[in-house]
Amino acid sequence: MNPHFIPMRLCIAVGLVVSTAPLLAADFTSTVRRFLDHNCAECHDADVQKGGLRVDQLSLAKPDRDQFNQLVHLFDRVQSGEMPPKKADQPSPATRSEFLKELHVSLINAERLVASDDSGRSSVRRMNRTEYESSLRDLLALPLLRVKEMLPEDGQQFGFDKVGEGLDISHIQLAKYLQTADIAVNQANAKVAVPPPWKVWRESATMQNTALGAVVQKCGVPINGRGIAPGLDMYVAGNPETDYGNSFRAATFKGSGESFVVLTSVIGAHQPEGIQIDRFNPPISGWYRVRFSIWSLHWNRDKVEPAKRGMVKVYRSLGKPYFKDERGRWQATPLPQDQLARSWMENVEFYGESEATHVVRASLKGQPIGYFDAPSMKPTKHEIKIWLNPGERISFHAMTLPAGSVVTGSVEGRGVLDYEGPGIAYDWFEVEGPLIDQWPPESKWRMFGEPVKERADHRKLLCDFATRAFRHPVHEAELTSVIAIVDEQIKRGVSWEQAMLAGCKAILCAPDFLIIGLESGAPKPSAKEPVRLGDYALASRLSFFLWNSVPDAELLELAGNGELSQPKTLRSQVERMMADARSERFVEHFLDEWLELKKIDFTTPDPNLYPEYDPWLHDSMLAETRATFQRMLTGNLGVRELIASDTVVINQRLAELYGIHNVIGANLREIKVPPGNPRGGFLTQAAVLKVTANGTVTSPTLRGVWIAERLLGIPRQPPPPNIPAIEPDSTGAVTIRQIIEKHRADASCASCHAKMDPPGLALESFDVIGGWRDHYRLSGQPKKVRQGKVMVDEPTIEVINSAAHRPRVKMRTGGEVDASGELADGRKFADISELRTLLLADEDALARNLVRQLLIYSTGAGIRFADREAIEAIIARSKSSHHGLRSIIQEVVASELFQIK
Amino acid sequence: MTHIARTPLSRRSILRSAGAFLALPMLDAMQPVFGRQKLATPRRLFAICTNLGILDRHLYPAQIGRDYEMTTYLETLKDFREQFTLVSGTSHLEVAGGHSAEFTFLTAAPHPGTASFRNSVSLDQFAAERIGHETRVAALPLGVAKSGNQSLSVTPNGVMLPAERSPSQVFRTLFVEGDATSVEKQIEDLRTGRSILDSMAERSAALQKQLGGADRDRMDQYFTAVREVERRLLIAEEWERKPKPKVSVPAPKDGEYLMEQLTSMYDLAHLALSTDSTRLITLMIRLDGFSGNTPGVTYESHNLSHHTNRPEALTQLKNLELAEFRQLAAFLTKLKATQEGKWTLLDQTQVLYGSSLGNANSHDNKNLPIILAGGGFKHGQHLAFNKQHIETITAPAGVKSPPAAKSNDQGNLCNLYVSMLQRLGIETDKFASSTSTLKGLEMAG
Repeated sequence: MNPHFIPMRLCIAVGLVVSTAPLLAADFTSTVRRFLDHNCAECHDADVQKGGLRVDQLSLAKPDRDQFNQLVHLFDRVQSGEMPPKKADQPSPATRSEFLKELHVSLINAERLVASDDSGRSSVRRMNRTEYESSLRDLLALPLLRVKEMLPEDGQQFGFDKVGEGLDISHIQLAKYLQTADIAVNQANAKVAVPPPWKVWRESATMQNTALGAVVQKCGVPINGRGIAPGLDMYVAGNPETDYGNSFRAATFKGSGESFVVLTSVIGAHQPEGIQIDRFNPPISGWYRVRFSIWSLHWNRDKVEPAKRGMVKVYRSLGKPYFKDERGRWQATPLPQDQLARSWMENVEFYGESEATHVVRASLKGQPIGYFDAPSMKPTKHEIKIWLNPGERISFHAMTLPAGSVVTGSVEGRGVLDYEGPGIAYDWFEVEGPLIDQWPPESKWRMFGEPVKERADHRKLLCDFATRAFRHPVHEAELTSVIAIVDEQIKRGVSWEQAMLAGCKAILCAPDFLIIGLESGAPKPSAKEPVRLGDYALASRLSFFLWNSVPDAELLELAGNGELSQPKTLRSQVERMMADARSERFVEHFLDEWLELKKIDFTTPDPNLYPEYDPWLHDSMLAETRATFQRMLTGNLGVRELIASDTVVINQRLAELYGIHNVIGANLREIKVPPGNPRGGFLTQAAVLKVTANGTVTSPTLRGVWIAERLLGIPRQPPPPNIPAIEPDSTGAVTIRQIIEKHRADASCASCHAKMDPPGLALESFDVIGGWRDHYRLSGQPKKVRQGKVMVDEPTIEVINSAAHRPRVKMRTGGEVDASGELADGRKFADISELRTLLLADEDALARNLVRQLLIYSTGAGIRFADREAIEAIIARSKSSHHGLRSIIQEVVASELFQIK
Repeated sequence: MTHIARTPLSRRSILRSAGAFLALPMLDAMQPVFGRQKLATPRRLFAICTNLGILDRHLYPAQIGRDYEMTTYLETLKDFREQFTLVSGTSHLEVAGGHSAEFTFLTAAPHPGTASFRNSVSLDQFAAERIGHETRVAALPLGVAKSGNQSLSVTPNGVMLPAERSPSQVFRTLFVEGDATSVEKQIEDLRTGRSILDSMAERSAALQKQLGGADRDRMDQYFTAVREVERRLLIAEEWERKPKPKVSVPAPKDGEYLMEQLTSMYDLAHLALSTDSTRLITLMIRLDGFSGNTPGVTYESHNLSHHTNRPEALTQLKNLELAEFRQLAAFLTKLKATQEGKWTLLDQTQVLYGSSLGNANSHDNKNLPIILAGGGFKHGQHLAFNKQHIETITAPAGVKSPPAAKSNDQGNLCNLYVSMLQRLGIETDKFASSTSTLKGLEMAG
């Protein structure tokens, strides 16, 4: 990571010369040529060609992309002092600086020629599918419209799906836009004349079909007060005497209960949906308010006790012979005395130190809505406001209960009646809605105007709609072809409404909607000067940056007045936009791309190596990284927070993973990192540690490259061709360090790996799900090993098993983790804390990287050599806030790079 | 409309001629092929990629040529020994990047996964450009996956076609006839679609004139796309008026589990090929995220592929891959049992089965596992292009294994693709990075 920790003073100093330089192809100045001949040619000429570089062949007379890139690389390495190598003769500081100054000018000129493009820094581009979906949602007031998954995945350039070159427009794309636009306008068009009434629906949890399903599985039970509600009935289905294998003990419930108790996190393979509000069906798509009441308890076979940490016990109370009861059904004989079949200590890590609180996850179509606390014995009401479509049902999963602990199968097993352990009670569910404050709904008048009037002037309505979709005022003359479609359909006898929908569809397929950058008119080609964006184009650049969507009325109005580009207005608009809920889309999408959080499900941790991994942890880790970034944004915290922080934003589940005590409940909250705990900063967040691992093993190289590229701004060098990849092994035969030490021993590998591996080495202390480790986990069952003359147990650690009835398992452990390393410049570290200190030595480098990432994301263009000066200026201005995230964003928006095309 | 002068034909005349020339050959081609005399039986292609590699130790025998011993995986295909060729030691030039190579299995575009990567046309789409107009569906990209619509098919300008993941929906499109009103409604929708496209073409043409540089390229892409969709909607409208082939089997189910989904996709592919609804199918099997419900498999597949030599993972991985091979065998059986004139459907259909990963545990994209069955070649042999690779993986246990294979000694997989294209009747001697046809693979009859 050497190059970027050297201050970039030189770069700023030479920047002044640039603007006056003539735009002509010219070869190197004599100073540059002389420097290359004297200082580089010895190793990089026709005879030696180290690293494939030949300076005698370099020329800027007819520059091409490859030559240009080679020269930028050369510039960087000479500037950082990496080249000429330490053991060679060094040029004097004056010579070096003179060389850099002149090469810098030549490179900026050459870049313009190489790009041979008169369309500016960035090109107009189509929306990516995330922007497309959010734009339709905002335009049509359909907050949960889902069309993204119908579109092909977008290409990436420079790490983001926001760059023109990566966003092709194909016939596939266009054919899909026709479909998705059709879906969207039809969903926005309320078909019923009279809205369904606003109603409050409320039912006991015991009434739900999924609750009765849990009764059948014998892992759920209706209660009244502290005991079982009357009406629970059990018998053996089938004939256990003649066909034991196909017989099982069935349970039914006919009656009513106050609450429904669930005793396991998974209600059986046939009911993966958990407990649902399944007796309510939303009459129309719209907003609903959903309330429910939950609490937790300790179930003691037939009665409720306060939740506590204690033993889980499974009893055996029935046995042979089987007999028929008075109703002619098979039963099993009660044993004279209950037998304890098995017992274990509860998953205490899930609880707080003082009180026991369980956690329930609510989800819709598999997507989490939220996590909710269920305190002991205290019915607790929760409320969510959510958009529901007809047929959609909210599911609840008890995340903190053991899975499969209750005996649900078998002829003898009485399930809940033979079980002692933690449970969660659901009292009732309530759904209020649809919450309609106007009819037809807003989505309809977005297309048809307010109030919706048949036969209104469709020309005006279409212009209004197009103005919002095209993000600039649209007059009839610009819309003639769309208006013609509607006219023609009306003439043919198609209904006015259908014809209007066809018009709206046409608007949503128009290049003016789909392509960003046309808002202030088609940009004029200009080779000489950078072209400033018009105010409407600026409004769109802002809103697609911070909201991933079209500008709102206020932005368009300011653009119309010509006020938006005023520095003061721009600044206050950025503040307003960051305070708006739509900016959550920026946080989510930027992190999805920048930190590759969208790849969080790319691999699933091996359940045998990491049995403690569960969906709650998965959702929590994503939430943590987003919340931490949001916290930096809100509090304008400095870039050093990326690497180190005294505060983490976590919940109970993450606290358990991070070894932090007394964090109870599902809500994320700010917690001071206890002394000695290695957390704080993005490097040690579970989500980051997970996306940089593969579910089974970690690779210091892959993690190191990721950190260098994403957080430190050091680009990766491609591996040389024909080098076989390393073959990972988790049987304990070899350690990852032994494998990569081989890289370091080979000089040709070492030159790159010395830069890539070190940060990854420090992260060896963290496993694939983000937990701390002193020893590597190994696969397989623990064995006896010989130690001297005696056989002893292999070393193991005990972890929670989230997915099985044995709540704790012993994991084999192997070699000790060695997290020490040495940066390319020779500075050594022993562990992650020491590495942090080294990385924090250059905050500017961290800021530089973040600025570059934000610029690519917001302007849709890669970083050019010529941009360096402006980037340094941004960093200089954000320095007083220690490069606070909010300041950086403000400075990015205020910079010329953001405001030119 | 000066922009149109840049193409030799005006847009309108392209549309007119497209409509005219499309109508006639299709009338003939849309009939089910059974029981009819045909001048030439059509040749077909079905390319399948299972995305997490295939354990080479259970696939490849030590022997090269015709007299090789069956291996665990090949045993499932023993009934077809003379109808497939096993290819080892080939890969795409300059294609690395581990999982990213999924995007280039049929395209061979260099450097997937890098910042400047651009994909190129896939084998099936290359063929579709030339023979696709003869059937109701030019080419059918299918996908089995837990989520997303990734396919193997890529258009000439590098855009991935979204995979169809619902066999029941494809079945409806291909075989279920709507009533008269719904057909008319469908045609009306297509018409509205075309008038929208007309207005878009007009607008983008106007914009093209005003833009320069890369901006103009974007708009060119847009304009070309509009014309392409127009052409396709016209064809769709023609087909909408023609009866669909009748099939006597129920629609395949959209299963939940991996093996259910695979069975349905193979059933659908068989129906589509045997009714000549299309002659070009691709199937991307993305195993990631599937776990359990395959006998002897409880782990999630991606995790299994990173077996890191865990014995239980290796066993499960073998079970998973065996189950996939059994599906392939069942499909080949169906093709062989379907007679088409004097040939079987297997004789007329090239079935390519392989993976974009040679070794998923190390993310290696060399030495790809490849099988080519049917389609009119002289099969029955093991063609090896990197002998050291075969020696390494088949070294008997206990013997000190020879040095790891040098992965740069590779056959060119694109050469196989050229052979396949030629067998489809397409006159070409080049596909992507190819240098010739595949040495040792000859056409039959």
